[in-house]
Amino acid sequence: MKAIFKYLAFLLAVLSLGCITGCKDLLTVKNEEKLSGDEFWTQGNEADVESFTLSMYAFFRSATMTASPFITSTGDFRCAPVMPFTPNNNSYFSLLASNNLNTLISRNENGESNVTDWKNFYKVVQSANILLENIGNVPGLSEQKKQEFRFEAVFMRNLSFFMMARVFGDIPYYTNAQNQSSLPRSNMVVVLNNCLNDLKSILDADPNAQNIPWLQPGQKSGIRPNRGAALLLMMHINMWLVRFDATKANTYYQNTVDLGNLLVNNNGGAYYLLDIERSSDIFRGGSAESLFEIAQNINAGETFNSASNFSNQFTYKYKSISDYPPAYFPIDFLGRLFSPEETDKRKELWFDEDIYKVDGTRKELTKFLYPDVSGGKYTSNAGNQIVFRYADGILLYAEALSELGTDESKALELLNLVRNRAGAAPKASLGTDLKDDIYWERVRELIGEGQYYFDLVRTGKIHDPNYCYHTISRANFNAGAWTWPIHPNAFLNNTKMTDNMYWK
Amino acid sequence: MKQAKSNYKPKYFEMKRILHYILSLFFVFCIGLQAMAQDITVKGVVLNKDTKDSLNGVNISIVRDASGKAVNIAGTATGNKGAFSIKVPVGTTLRASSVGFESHTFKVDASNSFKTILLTERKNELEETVVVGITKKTVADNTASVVLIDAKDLVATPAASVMDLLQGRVAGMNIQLNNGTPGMQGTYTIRGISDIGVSGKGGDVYLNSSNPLFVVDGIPQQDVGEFNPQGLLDGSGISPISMVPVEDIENIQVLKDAQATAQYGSRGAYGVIIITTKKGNSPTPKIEYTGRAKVSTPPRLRDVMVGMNERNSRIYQLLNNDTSIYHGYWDIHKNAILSDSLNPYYNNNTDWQNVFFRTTSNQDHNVRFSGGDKSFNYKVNGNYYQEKGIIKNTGFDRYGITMLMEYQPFEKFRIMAQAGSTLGNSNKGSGNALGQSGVAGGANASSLLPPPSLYTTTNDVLGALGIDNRSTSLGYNANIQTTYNLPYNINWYNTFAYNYTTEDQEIKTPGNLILNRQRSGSSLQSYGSNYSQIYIKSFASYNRDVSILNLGLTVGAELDMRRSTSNNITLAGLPNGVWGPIGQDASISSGGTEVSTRNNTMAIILAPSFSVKDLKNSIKGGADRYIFNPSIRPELNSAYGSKLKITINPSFGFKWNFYAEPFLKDLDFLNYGAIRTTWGRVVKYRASIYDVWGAYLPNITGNTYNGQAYTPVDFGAMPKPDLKPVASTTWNLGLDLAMFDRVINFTGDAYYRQVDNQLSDIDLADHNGFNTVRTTDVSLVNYGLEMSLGVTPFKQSKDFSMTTNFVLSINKDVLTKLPNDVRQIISNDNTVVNRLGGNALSHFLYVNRGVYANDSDVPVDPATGKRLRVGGDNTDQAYFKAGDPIFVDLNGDYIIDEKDQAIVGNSQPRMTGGINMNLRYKALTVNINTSFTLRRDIINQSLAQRFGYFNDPTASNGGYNGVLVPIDVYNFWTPDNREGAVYPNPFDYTRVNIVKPYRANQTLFMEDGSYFKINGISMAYSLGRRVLRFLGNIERANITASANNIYTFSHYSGINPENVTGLGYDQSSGYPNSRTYSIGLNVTF
Repeated sequence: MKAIFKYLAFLLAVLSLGCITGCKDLLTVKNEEKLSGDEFWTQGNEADVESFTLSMYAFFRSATMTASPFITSTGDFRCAPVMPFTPNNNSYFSLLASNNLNTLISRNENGESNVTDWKNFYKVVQSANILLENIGNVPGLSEQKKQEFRFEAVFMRNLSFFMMARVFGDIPYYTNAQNQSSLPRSNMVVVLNNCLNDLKSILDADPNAQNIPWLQPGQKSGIRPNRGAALLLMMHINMWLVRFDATKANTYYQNTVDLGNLLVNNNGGAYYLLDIERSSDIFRGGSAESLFEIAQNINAGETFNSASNFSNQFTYKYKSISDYPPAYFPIDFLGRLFSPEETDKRKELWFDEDIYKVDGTRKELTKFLYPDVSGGKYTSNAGNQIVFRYADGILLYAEALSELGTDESKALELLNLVRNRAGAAPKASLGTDLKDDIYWERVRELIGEGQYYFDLVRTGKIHDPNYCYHTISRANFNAGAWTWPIHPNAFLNNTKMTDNMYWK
Repeated sequence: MKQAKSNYKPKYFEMKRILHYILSLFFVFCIGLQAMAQDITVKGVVLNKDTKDSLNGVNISIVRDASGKAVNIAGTATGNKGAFSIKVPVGTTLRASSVGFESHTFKVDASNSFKTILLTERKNELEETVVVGITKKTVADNTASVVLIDAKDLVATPAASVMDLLQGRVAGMNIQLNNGTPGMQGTYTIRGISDIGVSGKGGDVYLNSSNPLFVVDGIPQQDVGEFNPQGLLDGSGISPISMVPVEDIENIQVLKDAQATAQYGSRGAYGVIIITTKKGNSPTPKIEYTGRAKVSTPPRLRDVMVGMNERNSRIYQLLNNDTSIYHGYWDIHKNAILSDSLNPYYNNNTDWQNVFFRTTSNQDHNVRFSGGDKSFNYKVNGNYYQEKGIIKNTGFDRYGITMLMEYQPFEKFRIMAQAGSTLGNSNKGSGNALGQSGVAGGANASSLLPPPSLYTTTNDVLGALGIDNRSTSLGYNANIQTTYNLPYNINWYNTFAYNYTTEDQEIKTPGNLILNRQRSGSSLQSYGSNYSQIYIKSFASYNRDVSILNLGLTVGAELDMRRSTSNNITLAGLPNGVWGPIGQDASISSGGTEVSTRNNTMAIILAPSFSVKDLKNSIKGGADRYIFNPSIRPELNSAYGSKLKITINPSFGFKWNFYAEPFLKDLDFLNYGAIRTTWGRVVKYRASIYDVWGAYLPNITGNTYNGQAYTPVDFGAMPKPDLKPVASTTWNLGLDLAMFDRVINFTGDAYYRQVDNQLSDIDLADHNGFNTVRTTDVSLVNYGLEMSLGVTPFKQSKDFSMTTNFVLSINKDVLTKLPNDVRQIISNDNTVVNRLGGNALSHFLYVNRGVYANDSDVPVDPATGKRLRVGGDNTDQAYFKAGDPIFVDLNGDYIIDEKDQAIVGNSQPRMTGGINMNLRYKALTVNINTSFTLRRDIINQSLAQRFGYFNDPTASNGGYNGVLVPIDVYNFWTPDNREGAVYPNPFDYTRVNIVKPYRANQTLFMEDGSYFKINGISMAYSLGRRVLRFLGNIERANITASANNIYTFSHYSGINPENVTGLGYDQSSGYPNSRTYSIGLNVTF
């Protein structure tokens, strides 16, 4: 008996000691509903990083297409010749067109009070910063793969900063992961130059387009950013800075030209303009013309906010012929874009037969029409939202060239590249005419793609009634009338936050 | 006098010389001399000193061998007529000890071979052992601040949880029995709050848990608070301590200072409560039965208006305060409840409180079968406890069985095995663990509605009784503990414990209570969780006397592995009256599973100790004069995932048993005197792995991008990689005295505790994406005094004895640091404010200075010419007028809004304590227990609420909140009573939602929450020998009676100043404490 207990005691002792020494692996906290950052990164794998990377795009989608009609409100309808359709008479359009933002936000007819809520953009920024900080710790990930993910993070944060800067002007800027301090708004010019440097350094680290290829192998073009998207983003930033850092305008034009040269002439055939007859392929997304777009997968239940979808505002027949579209472009404007005398296939392909009908009668802009039904709700465009498109890049390149005036023939060539594709007659203008032709070509080609207002702002045409239907005076512009007001939430817990004084 | 002085000096020098030796001995290793020994047979008898009866079964053990070295060898035991005989070397020290008697220690010398040993019945607590950390110490050797409670004083009073009975008995432990829900726990804090965090909103705010660690028979228990930061709101909410039957408890120790708690590592940061259960100790098997019948009665009910009074009051109010009298008539005619007084549905005078409250009778039984001696003993304890709540549809019952076996197969080895299982059922009715919101709503219904009867069984108000909310907690535990005395005086201890608990809660809400009527049908919610824990501890301790030093070292490791799983499911839209999944409405049903959470920690124990012994073995009581106990406890903590964190919990204690100094030898009245001082730091990683690393959320339905699932970081709280651990550092200075033949026993402690790096959440600016971030920037200091004075005024005589214990503790807390270096944080909808230099949880209230007698008394803004108004409303109604409360406009902007709130009063008690008295006259024992809380400010939210019910004279929501308080007893403003009114005009209901004259957070409703409570009186009468013999072979039989929660003396105008939330709000939904009477029987066969 004694012996048995002796053995028992020893057994117990050995067991407990063995357990204590051999159980370092046991010392874990685990929960299958949520993963800790520890498990996710330092014990993680490529699939984890991939799914986290996708969350950046998801937040970007929330910021632009789900939480509010961000792109259409800020880019398409502001100061634009857009008219609400009777009988709905949605004042959303008229208030945006007349730049009456305070009233617009207080009425909040289409969820536009959330347009100024930048939190989702900053979620993209934070996610990108977190990815950049932790990617190095993920075991079993090749250096090339890491660099690919890093590029995506850098692209997404700078895209977010750029989108915000165009809307708010000065914005809080940080690139550290888990930033928790309350920041003041940084000067927009400084912010955007930082963005340029950030993008430049990640592209320069890969001169042979190894890690940041022109096309993602095995991916549809544009769903994830490629090299072209980064170049076009940088071109856009440069062109935007021309207006706000005017003393260095030529540097920015030259940068744009250099970047445009890379984009158009060095892409190794990755990007090209599709036949205009394939318009629906272009705007559904994933084509060779697409550089970056926001995904909308109806089958997986991802549907943009109805008000965010530009197409929903200008189409109606997909629902029922008795319906009305919420808004229309007046004949005056459409006639100016597409002269009834000139041939342009975009007229027929992007508009319905009623394009020149009298204002107030029903007509459609069918450019993005790709109807589907999701969860009992109709949507006129079940495709992706284009953010950057090759044609946009070509025209921006042409614009920078024409502004520099060094190689107008090249600019003309680029302009006619876009016109030829549309079956329109080539232009042969020079000087100011060329600049005008390029501007109007951009309006024509990029209608409904969130560029209209920003083109007006950066070119200064917003002050000129010859170009702009709802002008902003220079005095008001300088006081900040081109910006949006800052959302009240931004002032919570942040004493350093300042408003855009024009809107106070 | 002079002579005495000259005598004193050399001794002082001698002491100094000894200290000198000690210092040298730290550096030079000395070997004690071994004396040659000669054996002698010691014979003698052991008698009871008072009765001179012989004592059988007294253990005679060898405590020091001939060389003076401390040993512990079982010698012999007295047999018939108390005689014994033992052969030992000359110079050996023997100890005669028996349960219930003071032990007697004597040294064997050659001349004295026959001894008559007289043992006095125990009243000397110095020889009792306390467990400090991992080692047992006698009270005289203990340096830490420890309170030992013998459960004998407690058992006559019935209670589900032993903690309820400790109120007012332990200095420094503040127990507030602030909810009467059967099976739930009150709030316990040791030495003040240590966490300023609160959860919940408005008046429904609860303090974050500062619960102490409970250790039952050496096994640390999980506490509800650990798994649920909201306290007890979720899950079954049955406190694990409620599962330990009071009858099975031998004693309870409360460890207060950091030296004691540091030994438990990080989990002991808020104090440790050690519960030891009974063991068998009788050569012949014993059966002990304790049974009780109890009656619980509800407290005083709140005064309400019923029947015609209520209707008349409403009609009066409408006619006089509506926008016009015609609109008033219209309102009356529109509402049948007022106008159709002949309709039997509305013609009632129902006192709803009577519908919900009831008197219950209950019983509990405990049977213990035990026996054995030191080498083998066993115990089986069976327990049944029942408590039906005084609110209908609530209750708690418990079934438990525990077994314990101790076996010492050979001298050096001892094994203890324990197994038990308990089942607890609780029914919480329509509320949660803390309040009874459903019943509170129901009890506040208009008296005009019909009482329960056949045709109104599904009345909305009665729905509170229709809710079926059952919780079950089923626990199994088993543990084995071994002790092995290895060679070289090394003792090796092992503990292996396994614990498994399942908890289920099922709530069925009948369809008539579902708020959204479109979704008809009842709903069924079910929460389930299970929890398992493996706890392994192994350590060896070594003690060696080196000359006058006793050196000790304890080395070991501790592993605590926990795993929990939980799930919940809500089925809604069920066909009425049907349980089960058939026919639910899937669109409003939901469910979720938290598959598994593992949380394992390992600690390494390393605790050296030194104590200085007396050279001559001649002092009173046998204790060492100077005791120095340092210890460190490094702990490896895995709470932060792969960043393994090492925490070090250092502590030291020093004790000077000054009564043993030779120079105090002549002070005969001083039986014992010691000064203790301790310092300790307990470091605890309180943040979760998600706070540190962030949480990533896979598997969320609908989270797809382009059809692929994505995993976002949880933007609720930002990861914070450098979260420091909470460190609480305590200084303690204590004084223990026993005087005049132990008539007076005094223990006093002064402490200073600083808790640094407390966790708190800061809201972030929205450009950071995340909502909040956790910081460790809050520091809180608690300091205070505790004293416990025991007086035994009458010499213990055979017939009469009396002991009185007076306990008092004063605690003050000061906030010393807040995050971001701010000076003040106003949190939780402005109910509490944390301000630097102030107490941690101040009330934040509107200052009320009476009532405006006339419109002209309202201050006028000179800038606008308009009267003072309330913020947030620009209508004419917002301007103050006669009958409105005078709120002080602190910022002088002529608008009363949240900026006009001021810090007034402290929501936490400043002073707590109690008086406890034990009387014995012959066979009758009486225990009287009282407790008090002084200097606390509480808010009578319940009164504010009931005044507020006048806002709806049409009784449009008559089902709820329709009860009217008979306000005639209050001095309120009416056009006829303008001057000197205390309460604002309650009838002006058209403006009441704008002006909010009866907001609870104003000084009008702040009252002094001090109280003195007679907790309980219990009596036990033991039957005489003759009766016992007549009844059969009964060893002992007691008849007990008790009354619990007898009376509370207080200035508070509400029902019970104790029955308030942790932040001092008296809510009408609080579960009142019942008064309980019991009669019981306690028999030992």
